[in-house]
Amino acid sequence: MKLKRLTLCGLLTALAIVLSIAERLFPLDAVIPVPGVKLGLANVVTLFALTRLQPRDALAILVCRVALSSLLLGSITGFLFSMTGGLLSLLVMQALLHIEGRFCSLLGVSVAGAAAHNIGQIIAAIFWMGTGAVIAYLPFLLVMAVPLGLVTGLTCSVALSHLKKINFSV
Amino acid sequence: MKRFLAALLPLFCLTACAPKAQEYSTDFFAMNTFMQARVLGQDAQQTATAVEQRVNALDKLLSRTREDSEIYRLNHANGAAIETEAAAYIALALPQIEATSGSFDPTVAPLTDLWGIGTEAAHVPAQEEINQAMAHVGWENIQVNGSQVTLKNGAEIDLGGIAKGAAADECAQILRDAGNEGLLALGGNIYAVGTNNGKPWVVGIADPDDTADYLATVAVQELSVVTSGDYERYFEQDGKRYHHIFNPATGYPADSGLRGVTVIDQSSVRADAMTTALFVMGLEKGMAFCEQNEIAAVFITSEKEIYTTSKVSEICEFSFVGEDKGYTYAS
Amino acid sequence: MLRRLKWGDAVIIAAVLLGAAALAVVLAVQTAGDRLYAEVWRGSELIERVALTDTTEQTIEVDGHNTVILSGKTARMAQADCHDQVCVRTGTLTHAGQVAVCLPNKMIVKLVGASSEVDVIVS
Repeated sequence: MKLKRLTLCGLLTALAIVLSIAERLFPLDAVIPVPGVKLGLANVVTLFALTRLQPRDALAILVCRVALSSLLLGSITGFLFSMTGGLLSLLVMQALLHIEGRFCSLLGVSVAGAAAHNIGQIIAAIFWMGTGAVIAYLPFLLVMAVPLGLVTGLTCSVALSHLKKINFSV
Repeated sequence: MKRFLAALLPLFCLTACAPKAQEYSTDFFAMNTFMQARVLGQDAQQTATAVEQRVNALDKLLSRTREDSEIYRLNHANGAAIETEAAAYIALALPQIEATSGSFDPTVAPLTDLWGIGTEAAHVPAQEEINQAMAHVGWENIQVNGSQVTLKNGAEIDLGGIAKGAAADECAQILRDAGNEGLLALGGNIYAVGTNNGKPWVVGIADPDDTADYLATVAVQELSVVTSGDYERYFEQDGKRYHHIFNPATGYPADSGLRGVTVIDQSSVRADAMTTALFVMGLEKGMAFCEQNEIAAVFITSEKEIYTTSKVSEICEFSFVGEDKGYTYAS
Repeated sequence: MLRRLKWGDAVIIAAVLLGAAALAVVLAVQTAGDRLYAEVWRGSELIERVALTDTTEQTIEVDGHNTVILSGKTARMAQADCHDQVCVRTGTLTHAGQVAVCLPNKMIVKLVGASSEVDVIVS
């Protein structure tokens, strides 16, 4: 049981890293000229881990994913922004998952998570750059969080319904 | 979903329609200088237009260069007694001349012409020419009798030293009568009418070497701030600067070690006359004169020192900001 | 996709959009006061109005009489064909409310917009 969970965590981390790299093939910030705009496909993994595994597993996957993909792709600032955004996103989604089903669906949870990710990113940027000017990007990022969050939420929810069919459980 | 979006709309409207105080600003050229009027409150534009009209009317009355002016008529009357509306303004100047014992003198016009300062013909005249011009200078040559004015001894009058002051005082009254507040900048004559949305108006005192910047500020309300300096109109010959403020006693531009004098007073006419007179007197005599007559003045010396009289702190808030430019605040 | 949506999702989406809108409005109101413009006037006619940014580099010639140079968030009268040169000596304008005036040519360069520490400079 424990081994199965650990393997799954490793698999999901690998998947998340691949997704982070894959989404670079769609440079969204070339279409929408706002720095920090990303599809956020890796969020699918976080959401999945939160629903099917323990919150601490999701946290572990997140930390490993951000650390490794920063090492592979990015800079130290990218690590800082993604980590703050990711942690805030995780926190918000975990809180909302308690009322998922009755109050809202995975789509709403995902949108809230995407928005929280952006807010965390900007907070980190404000501290890192020492200027509040970057907050000017936040309204754009939040508006973009709605369609992007819906896409990731939908992906996760489709994946979950397929897994249900094969009676997948940890 | 649509309902949620609809709920957003009123929010945008609310922020867009936030009330703002009525304000109107206008720039114009008059009295051979650049003027700005900023009016706050009801019918601000109407009041600003009235200000511009009053300044132009006074210009037509008091200009020395316009051939249709009353002063021009008076200066070309060859000593005959002239019935003129300008008499009231000449009468305004007389007490200032007496108070300053002639340091402010509106009869220096022949000297201004001789030196040609502010024109392309500016030059240092021969001493003999100066003596000749000086013969016509002297405020005792002006005789005002009611609305009648006589200029004796070939004297010519130039109200340039108080015309903008008179305009500022009258325009300030236009604002008050209309229930407006505002800031009038008529060349070197500022009048702060009322407040700037409850706060005093902040006037910067220009750096003589970089007039876009300032060495000190005064926060004022219901006061006029007037500056005269050697940097306004001047020419240089043989490395020496000759400016437009004449010492009526010598016939030369006042060489008193001052770069500029600013006076803060309720009457812009008084402030206008005083800046000229204090510039001629110099720092020491000028400071003593101000303390004696309770005048609020700020002196800028060529030694890069700034002095204020004790009256300054009584009527306004003065702050010195000229350290970066190498100035020191002496008192 | 719509089948999956619950009313709570609409609340979350609305909250995010509302937050974005509110933030945008607050930022717009705040920065509106910080904009700086250079205006070039001939008499009472506005010839040019330029929003100044840190990267502004522009030279404006007025009737061959005056040359105005805008550089970053500053403006100055670089050249004038009048004899008194008062406008050129005025120096570089850096704050709203500052004016360089060429009396002979009845030409003005001024900065307007962003709040300034002084309302007017007396000279």
